[in-house]
Amino acid sequence: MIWLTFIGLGLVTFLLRFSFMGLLGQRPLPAGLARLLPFVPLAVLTAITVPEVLLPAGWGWDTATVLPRVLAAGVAISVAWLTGKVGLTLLLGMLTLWLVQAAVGG
Amino acid sequence: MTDFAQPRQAFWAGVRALAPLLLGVIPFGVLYGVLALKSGLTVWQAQAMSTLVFAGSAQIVICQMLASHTPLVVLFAAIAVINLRHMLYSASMAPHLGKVSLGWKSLLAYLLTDEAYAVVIQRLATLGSHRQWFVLGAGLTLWLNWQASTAVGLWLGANIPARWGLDFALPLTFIALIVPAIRSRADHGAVWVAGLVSVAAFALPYKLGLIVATLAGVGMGVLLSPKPEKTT
Repeated sequence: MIWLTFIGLGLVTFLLRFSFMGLLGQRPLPAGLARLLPFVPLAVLTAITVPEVLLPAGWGWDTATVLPRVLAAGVAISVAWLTGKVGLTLLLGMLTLWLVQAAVGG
Repeated sequence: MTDFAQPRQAFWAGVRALAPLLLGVIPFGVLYGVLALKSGLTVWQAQAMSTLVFAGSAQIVICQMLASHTPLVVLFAAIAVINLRHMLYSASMAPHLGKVSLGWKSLLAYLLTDEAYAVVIQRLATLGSHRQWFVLGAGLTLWLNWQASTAVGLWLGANIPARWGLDFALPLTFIALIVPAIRSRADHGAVWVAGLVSVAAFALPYKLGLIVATLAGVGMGVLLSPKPEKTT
């Protein structure tokens, strides 16, 4: 049963990914849709990321959990803005996370 | 316009484009492996989910829902909503892959993820011939590393302390992608609105807040963008 469930969930995910690519063929996108799409990458990634930073444990504010993330995100934003380098952003972000965790968590 | 002389060159360019993101993806894959075992899946089931569903954070949600005996209908509805953003990805890739065969499109659709989309969509408009190989290179690189990092997580089991904050590697990677891509006033608007709404709508079930925030951000972007431009 669980295997069928996985296959089904895989199929749902595949169909969502295939949808426009498969069905549109060589026709151009409707003009309205074409105007929206340039903003999709930024909007989706932001909508995924911000709650991960601010609300890792839901709505309860827990300084020991949230503060390290907020500061790490702040460092990451600065590094990304200054250098544009993914690896360096991740490295300095994680270092900040661990340092602040050690400082507030004891 | 970058024209690749051979498929091989396009493929490796795709591999190289995705490679920097692996630093963030691998810890997340390891984390999935650990969580899957904790939620009661067997090693083979957990690895099979990475292959059959191949959907990062959605897989973690599936684990949680299976562990809490969520009805199948709810499970399927939740995954459809969480992965709804892939339809938007599909729509923005579609115009660039018009001439590619259906078999190719099926393969590329299976390999489509947040990360692969983020790196590919930036380059796709500038690529000429053999562009599907570029997309394949990026997608396959992520796929292989996702399978491998899942296996590592299953092997390590519960030996990874939560304090390491491995789950935070992926958000940091996304920050590295978002920040340099913000250029115009409309981009700023899209990011701020998406961020604010993602927090305001966080309490909605099945991560519906994600899709609401995305649409709000996109709407603000369109509102702020000059009419004749941005239609490429």
